[in-house]
Amino acid sequence: MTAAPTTATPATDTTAPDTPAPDTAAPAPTDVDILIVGAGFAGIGAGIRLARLGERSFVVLERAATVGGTWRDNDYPGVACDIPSHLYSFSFAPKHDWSRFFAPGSEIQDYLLECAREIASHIRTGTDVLEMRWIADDERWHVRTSAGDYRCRTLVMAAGRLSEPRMPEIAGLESFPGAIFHSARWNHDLDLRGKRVGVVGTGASAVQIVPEVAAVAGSVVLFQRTAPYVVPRDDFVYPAAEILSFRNDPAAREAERADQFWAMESGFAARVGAPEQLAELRTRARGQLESQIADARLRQDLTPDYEIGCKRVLLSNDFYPALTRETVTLEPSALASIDETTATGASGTGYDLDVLVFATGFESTRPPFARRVIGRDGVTLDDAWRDGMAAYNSTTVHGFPNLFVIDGPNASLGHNSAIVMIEAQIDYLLGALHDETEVLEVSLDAQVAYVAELDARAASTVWLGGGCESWYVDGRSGRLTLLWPDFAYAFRDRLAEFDRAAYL
Amino acid sequence: MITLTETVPHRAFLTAMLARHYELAGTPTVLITTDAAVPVADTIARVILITHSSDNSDSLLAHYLPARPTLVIGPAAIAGVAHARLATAHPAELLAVIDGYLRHPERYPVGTTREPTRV
Repeated sequence: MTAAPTTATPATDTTAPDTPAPDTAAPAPTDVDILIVGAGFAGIGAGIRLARLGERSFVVLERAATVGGTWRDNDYPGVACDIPSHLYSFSFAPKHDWSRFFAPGSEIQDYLLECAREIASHIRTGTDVLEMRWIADDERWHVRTSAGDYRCRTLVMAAGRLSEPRMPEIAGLESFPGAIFHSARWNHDLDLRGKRVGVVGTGASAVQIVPEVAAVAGSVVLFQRTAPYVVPRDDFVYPAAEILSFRNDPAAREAERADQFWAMESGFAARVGAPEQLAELRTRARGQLESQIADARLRQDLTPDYEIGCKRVLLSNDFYPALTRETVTLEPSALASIDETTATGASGTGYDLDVLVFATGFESTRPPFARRVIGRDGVTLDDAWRDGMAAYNSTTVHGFPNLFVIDGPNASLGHNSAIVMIEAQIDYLLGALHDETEVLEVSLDAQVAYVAELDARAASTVWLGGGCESWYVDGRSGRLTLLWPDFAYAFRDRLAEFDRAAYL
Repeated sequence: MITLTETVPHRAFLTAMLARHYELAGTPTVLITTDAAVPVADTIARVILITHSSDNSDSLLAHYLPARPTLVIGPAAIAGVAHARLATAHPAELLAVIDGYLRHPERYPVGTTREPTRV
């Protein structure tokens, strides 16, 4: 898993003791300076930074019953982060006692709940944002929600990119009599023991799910459209002495974070074809495949036919071994059709199944929230993005004054921590707010030039030239719209200062 | 316009990454080196000296100063030049400092030390 905030389907656990409770004593204001949509990493982070700067007139709207975004929704067996935990957390809200190098999902969710406590009085859970419309005469956003209306000067979209599960269209799916669910909507009421389970997809979630399900299910069929690259997951439990050191010496903790950040930064070089880095990455992946898969046919089926890094490089030590179990079958083709209990791959091979788990990712390049944002000329953000997401500095959009999109166009990473990017965008937002201009709208020229620059940078990356189809690329335009095509430090440097000149 | 001497650490990495944004062929105007005594061509307008030395004596830079604006990347600050310290030995951090200096030399005033950026 990677992280992003989300406003996904309401969770059911409203009684969890760690859930920050809305401040019911203070009536929710209809007029606020800043309205943040989504209480995942981005929304919580923006809220904390605002509060620490003394801002009081803001709310964070969350459609689910509790905060956490991705880490609330993704609670499937084996869920964990693939970014080091000290780096996958806020620099301004450090946690010294991460249990492991790669934190389990539940620990990250607990961390977010703890962070959210600081701004609990500003968070409105169970509030689905239905429409956000810029009213030019009023110079305000008018926001309609399931729990009342708001009016704000600044709108911050922090809805995340892993919010809406993507379900492929499968012929005959409705005829399947068994349980069907997406990995981000795990059915915990279903006992998989002895069941015949089909898992669709071989992405970051699937490689974590398959070993767990294979350990209990009667049988597992994994439908693989594209083989992933899988490298060893060098995870470990932090020794007590090291945790103590991080607690007593903040500099040691910061050094750990810096080391993790700069180590991961070097990974970008492989994405632009630096021979040494590319070779190292390939060697790790191929070495793991060869050492863990003895069967030549299975190894061939698991060998990717595109350049490493084109799709997300996955981390797992137990994915390949799970596929060697007698009860596990790799179907080296996509799930093509369902006829009642029979699931058939594109190869024509059919399997009788009791349960279908879709680990098929998210609607990332065409976020559903964009249909609810209506800008200056009555145009929806979805329409403005009909050729793919685009924003100036990956954050502001021409035609949508006083709108800031966090973790939106070209703001994700394929090689480092999303939290670093989110923090850079929050800094940029704070700079814009400090500018105190009543209406800020980025010029079309600035946005077009920025997008052209990114397109040029992206052209030399493995994401566009690696010979794969990935969720990083918008299928409508063929543009790389999800990822920042450079080092994370370059993004942070670029957004470090608010550049008023780019705005009308 | 950037030239890196043979001894620069992570030279292949730096060369490949700098080439994405900067001209590396043609007449050099920026010299990146680890050797304070290396001859500096007349065309060189700026020097980046990477050193592990904690020697902060003026003599270290006798060949450059005061003729060339210089950034020293290493443990010790040196009077009269800009200085940046690194938090790690990872090549990407070194690249970030070089890139930052090339893009925004004004952020590296003479006589000051730029500490590692918190991430």
